Amino acid sequence: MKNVLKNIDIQLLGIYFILVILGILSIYSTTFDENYSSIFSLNKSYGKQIMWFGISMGIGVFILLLDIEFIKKYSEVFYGFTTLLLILVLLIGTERNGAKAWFGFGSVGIQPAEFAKISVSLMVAKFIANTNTSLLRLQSRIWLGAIVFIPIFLILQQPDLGTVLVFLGFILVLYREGIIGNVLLYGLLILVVSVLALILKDTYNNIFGLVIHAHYILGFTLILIAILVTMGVNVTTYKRYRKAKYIRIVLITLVAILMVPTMKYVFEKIPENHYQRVRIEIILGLKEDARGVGYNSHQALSAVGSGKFLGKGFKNATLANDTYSQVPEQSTDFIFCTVAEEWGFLGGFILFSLYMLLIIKIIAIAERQRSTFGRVFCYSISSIFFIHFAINIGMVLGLAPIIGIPLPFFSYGGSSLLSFSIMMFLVLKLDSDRLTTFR
Amino acid sequence: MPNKSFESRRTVILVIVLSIGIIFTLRLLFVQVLNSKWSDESLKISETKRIVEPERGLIFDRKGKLLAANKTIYELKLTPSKINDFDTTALCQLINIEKDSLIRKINRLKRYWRLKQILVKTVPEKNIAKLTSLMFKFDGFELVEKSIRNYPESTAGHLLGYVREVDGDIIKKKPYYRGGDRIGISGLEKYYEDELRGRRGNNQFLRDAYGNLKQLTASDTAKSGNNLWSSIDAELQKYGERLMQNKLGSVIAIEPATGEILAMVSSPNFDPNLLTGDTMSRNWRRLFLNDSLKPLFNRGFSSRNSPGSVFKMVQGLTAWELGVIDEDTKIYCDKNLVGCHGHSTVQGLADAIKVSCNPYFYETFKRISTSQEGENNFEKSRKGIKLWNEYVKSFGLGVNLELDFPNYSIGNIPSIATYDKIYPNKKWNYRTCNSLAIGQGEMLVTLYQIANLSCIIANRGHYYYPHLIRKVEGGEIDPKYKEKHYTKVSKDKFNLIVDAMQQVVEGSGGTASGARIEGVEICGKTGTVENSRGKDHSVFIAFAPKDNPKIAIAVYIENAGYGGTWAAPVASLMTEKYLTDTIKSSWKEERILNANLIPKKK
Repeated sequence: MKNVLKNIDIQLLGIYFILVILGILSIYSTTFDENYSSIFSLNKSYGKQIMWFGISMGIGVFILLLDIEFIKKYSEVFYGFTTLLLILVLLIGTERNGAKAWFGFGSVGIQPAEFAKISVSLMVAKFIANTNTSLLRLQSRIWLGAIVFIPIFLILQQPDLGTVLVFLGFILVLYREGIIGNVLLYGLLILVVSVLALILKDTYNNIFGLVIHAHYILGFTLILIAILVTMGVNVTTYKRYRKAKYIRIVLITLVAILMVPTMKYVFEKIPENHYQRVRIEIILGLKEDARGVGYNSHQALSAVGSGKFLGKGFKNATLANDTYSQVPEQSTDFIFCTVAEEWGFLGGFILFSLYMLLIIKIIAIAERQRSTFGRVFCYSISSIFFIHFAINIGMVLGLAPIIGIPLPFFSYGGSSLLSFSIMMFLVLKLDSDRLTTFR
Repeated sequence: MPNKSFESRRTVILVIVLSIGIIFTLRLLFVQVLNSKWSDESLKISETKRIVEPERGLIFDRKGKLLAANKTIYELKLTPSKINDFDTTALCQLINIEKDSLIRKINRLKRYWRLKQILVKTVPEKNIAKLTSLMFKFDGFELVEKSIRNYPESTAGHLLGYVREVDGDIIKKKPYYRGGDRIGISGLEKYYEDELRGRRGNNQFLRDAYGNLKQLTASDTAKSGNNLWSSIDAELQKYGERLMQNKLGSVIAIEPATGEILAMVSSPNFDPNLLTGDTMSRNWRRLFLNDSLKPLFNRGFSSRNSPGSVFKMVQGLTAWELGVIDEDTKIYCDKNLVGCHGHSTVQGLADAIKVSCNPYFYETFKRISTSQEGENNFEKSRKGIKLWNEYVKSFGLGVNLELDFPNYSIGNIPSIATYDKIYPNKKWNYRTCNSLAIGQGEMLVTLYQIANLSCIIANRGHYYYPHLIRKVEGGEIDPKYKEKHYTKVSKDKFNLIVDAMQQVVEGSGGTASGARIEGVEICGKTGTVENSRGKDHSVFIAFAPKDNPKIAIAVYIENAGYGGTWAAPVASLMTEKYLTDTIKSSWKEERILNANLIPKKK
């Protein structure tokens, strides 16, 4: 234990505490009721969240006391156990919001999928670590695929689309480990650029009095990203390889930028009322439907927009809280609305920065692990946090479809706080042990 | 280790992560700072306005009695989509309606499924408390308070007028009004609309997603309408309405010292409460379309008639002022000129008025023309009429007296143009129009002008514009009502006329002995207006007491006969009531109350 405390990454622990505490404050703010005097009460959601924070801390300390070899050794058991729970929940679980994803114990619910994320991460890490040299063999790849896709299949049966998307985060891990190539990444790039090109095709932005078509801003952003990549290449690549990479970056950027107007052109060739076009437009949110399908997104964006630069102040939201209930799923999936409304752009930006810091910090930790197991596991956890962040915030900002998925450490919910905390403490434990691990 | 060779891929992953961070930050910047669309949208969904209707101003009579007030009624509204099973029988009892008709009404409202609509316009007052306590049982129903106009004294319908909810035309013309607002349609309610309506308030609330109001954020308080203090004496007005029942005509009483109208009875009249609440349109149709006596028509202000003999004072004073007669001028009662009553020889102007000698005033009329310079009678008559017209108009006859009332007639005093129009060859002279001398012929005046004439004589030569409102809350009445207007006849000539008018009532051989009041010096003049379509109209003007008069009155009863027979006692009773608050000769009152002078339909 002494060793653990000496080697623990204080920065990461600090970010964790800040996020959880800010999260509890936000939940407190959304449920704040002037007529209800007690600050701490288990009847209130923030009271429950504080309780879950306490439980998480207890389990965290327990994890820090564990031998990491023990965890590694029993990865298969954890995996098997959570897989069993995923099957059981389909049989005896309770249905909430149209998904049979919960084991209910009174007012407390447990979501096995939350814990499956951890066991799959452990299992993937152990499998890659143990089959290091033979990863390129087809058989190994099929095994690896099975490890990831069995839980995905089970979760699809609930169905819980959000959690399934989180498992797609493992693509990043496999990419990092060289198991899948650049092709997938390019595919992702194409998808993101085309979707953005279509969403923004008729948008004009007024930037300090200058009216600019959003496609220019998209192009500008792509160039900015290319410059970032180039800078990264300068740091990580030997001089003799750089030229080839530069050429590739320039080509990819050019193709991406050219795709933007092309997508618009092609899309507008489809007749206006063709059902395919209408369907795409609704998914992309180009057709407004504030009262129907688009209601959640409309309310959320209104709440965010009303925050302006500095926000309305703590407990002063007039849309995103329980008193006004203008935003649905206020304290869970749409908790960011409260932050954006009460703390404005400044608060939102600081929160984004904290999450960027969290994700990048864990990637850095992953990269400094001596063991493959440690690296892969940390990458998995980082990817999970990243996907959660990207989908949750993207949903609130109207950039992603409305998919119920919590914001790590922030959203109200015992299962998710507990499982995210376990992930966090596993990373901290692995990292504090790295010096004693030789491989 | 093979994976080492993929170490550079961490850069790509970092770039992906950072790109998302950058995209989100830019998007957040647009949504919150650079673009106001979403903050505008947030106001749309979170703010809501509620109008606060102002209380309409009250109207009091001159003694502080409430003539026009407000009353709260309750409407039962229904949103069909929110309806649940409920106890139909219980509801029917509470709102006093048959079960079948309730179900029919509800089914009719179901056409607009989500709209809150009026089911019952007025819930019976006695059931309100009970219904309020039981409302929780009736989902989808709502009791809504509504203020309507109410006239506690049930009197002076013509003067007070009525209010109505605005329609599309009014909203188009007057942008202040919105659907559901009320506006004065006639009478004082219309003329003083801007004072009475007040200013509506506006409350801004934050609301929740379900439309519940949560917090008041801005408030622009409603301002109640200004109260008005009318010059009407409700008791006198009601008494006049009683006296005039079963008669056609009107009575107007004015306080000579101020021009304040004390009463204006137009008979047949109506209870102003008929034109309030949910039975208003039915009653309006009945009064306006289905009643041949036209009770909504304001005879006192709008009916134009010949004044008859009450005009003789104006004629006499004009002739005297123009110097064609003096107070002692004697004129032979030449019945070849015009019919007259059998009276003793006229001893001068005062005597002519007392006995109402027609030929006397014909002669004065002739003299006005013949005393003018001109080559022939035609030219002299033109000049004469012109002069005569100016003098007559200075008595407030046939001119706009600027009543504080939305509509009234002005009448017409014939002029050169009048006769040139009838005789385009201009071959007309004083003989053509000498019936004007006794207030007949082409002369058309209104009763408020005749009452004003009575004021002029009472005041010995001046008048104020007659008006109905003596005080406006938080303001002044129009200064024009405080301005004295003088006639073209010098003041010193009036005392003779006043004495003559006293003789009309109190002298032996006067035409209006029926107007006498014990203990009060009353001056009057009868008129009997020839009517080609039926019985003569009975007219009387009076004022009392003789010195320092408190009331001047004019009575016009259509198709009733001699002025002395009907109009004089009515004026006398009104005067007695106003001055002494009692009626000593109850037989006179009985006789008037029981008389039915409405002409039988042929």
